[in-house]
Amino acid sequence: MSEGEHQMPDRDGMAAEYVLGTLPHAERLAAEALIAADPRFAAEVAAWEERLHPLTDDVAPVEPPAHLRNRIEARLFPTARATRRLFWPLWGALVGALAVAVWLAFGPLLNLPTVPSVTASLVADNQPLVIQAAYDADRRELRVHRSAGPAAEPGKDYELWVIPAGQKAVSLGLVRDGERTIPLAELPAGTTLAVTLEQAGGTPTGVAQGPILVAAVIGKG
Amino acid sequence: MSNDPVADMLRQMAQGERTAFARLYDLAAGKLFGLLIRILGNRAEAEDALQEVFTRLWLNARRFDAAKGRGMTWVIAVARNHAIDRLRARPAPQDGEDALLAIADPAPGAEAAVIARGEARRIAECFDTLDAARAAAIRGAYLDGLSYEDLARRHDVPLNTMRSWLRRGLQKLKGCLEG
Repeated sequence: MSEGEHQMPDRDGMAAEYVLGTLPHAERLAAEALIAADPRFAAEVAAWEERLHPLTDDVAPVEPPAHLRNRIEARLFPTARATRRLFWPLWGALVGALAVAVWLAFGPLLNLPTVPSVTASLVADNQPLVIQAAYDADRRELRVHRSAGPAAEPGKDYELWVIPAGQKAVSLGLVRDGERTIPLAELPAGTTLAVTLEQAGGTPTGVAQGPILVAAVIGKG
Repeated sequence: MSNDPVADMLRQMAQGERTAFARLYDLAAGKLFGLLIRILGNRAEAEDALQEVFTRLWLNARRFDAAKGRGMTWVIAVARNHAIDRLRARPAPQDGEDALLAIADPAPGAEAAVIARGEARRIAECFDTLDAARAAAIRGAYLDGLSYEDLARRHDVPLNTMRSWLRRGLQKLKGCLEG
């Protein structure tokens, strides 16, 4: 293969390969970070999505089973339906957490509201693990400890994540025995706190690899 | 309202309108399910994936930016990205061959014939300017989620060769579509 032929500029090539889905895992993660950080790269990705989109005309629609729609709506709009059985992969656990009890305790109401202080229990159905999280708005600290359930099995660790609404998960580190205090600038309503099961020491990639065990969505103030 | 009904639905979903979610489901679920079955090659997993995709569409609708593209393009991208993440998270096959055998090699030209209408015609014409193997590789990656490893093995070339070869195909495609 001659190297004299034209090559796409690297970033455009990366955008195309990202959309195509062929990027190796590490580069795929790098591309996702670049999409979040660089509007020009994001625009290149969007342009490639637009270019290749007509290929999906090849794909014939397949009617999904009707029960699937009910499951999805029950999961997204839990107040509409009372019962939910849990055996949910990643995002399902997050949304299941919409139904989770979250208590909001506003700071002094006399002052204009700043960031409210919040306590939340990270739980899930059929899951003995319970993680307590308390956010102190004055100190800008999140305090976390395991209040129920077993420690992570040998060779594993619990990893805590903060997921601002509509954004990517950011690791806050591991939850082992005892209380941890984590500096955190804010914890607005709609933010999700979640704990995943990762290899000992936490995921090496910066992206959760294990299942979400428990989660809570910070409620509207 | 705009001339992009899916974009309108996404905007309304971002504001919490469940009726917009129901309309998007009516409009797109069949297409997305077909696409997920195609990429994942497994109906049961496609059902799981469809739930997750609609969950993401609801939770992330506010991230859709109509200035950057059309609504349906964004919806498809959410579904494909999720499917590809699932594929890449699968453990590598033990001997490397089983997974490939499981993916049927489409008859050459069979898909090109299907792409024949509307906006798809232009990309079909541009695919025709590529050599057949390169066009098949791009389609295989986009619609079947084939990785460079899969493609290199299938075409029996080194991985880096496959990569630069495919990049040139993409560049030519881009030039044609913009020409």
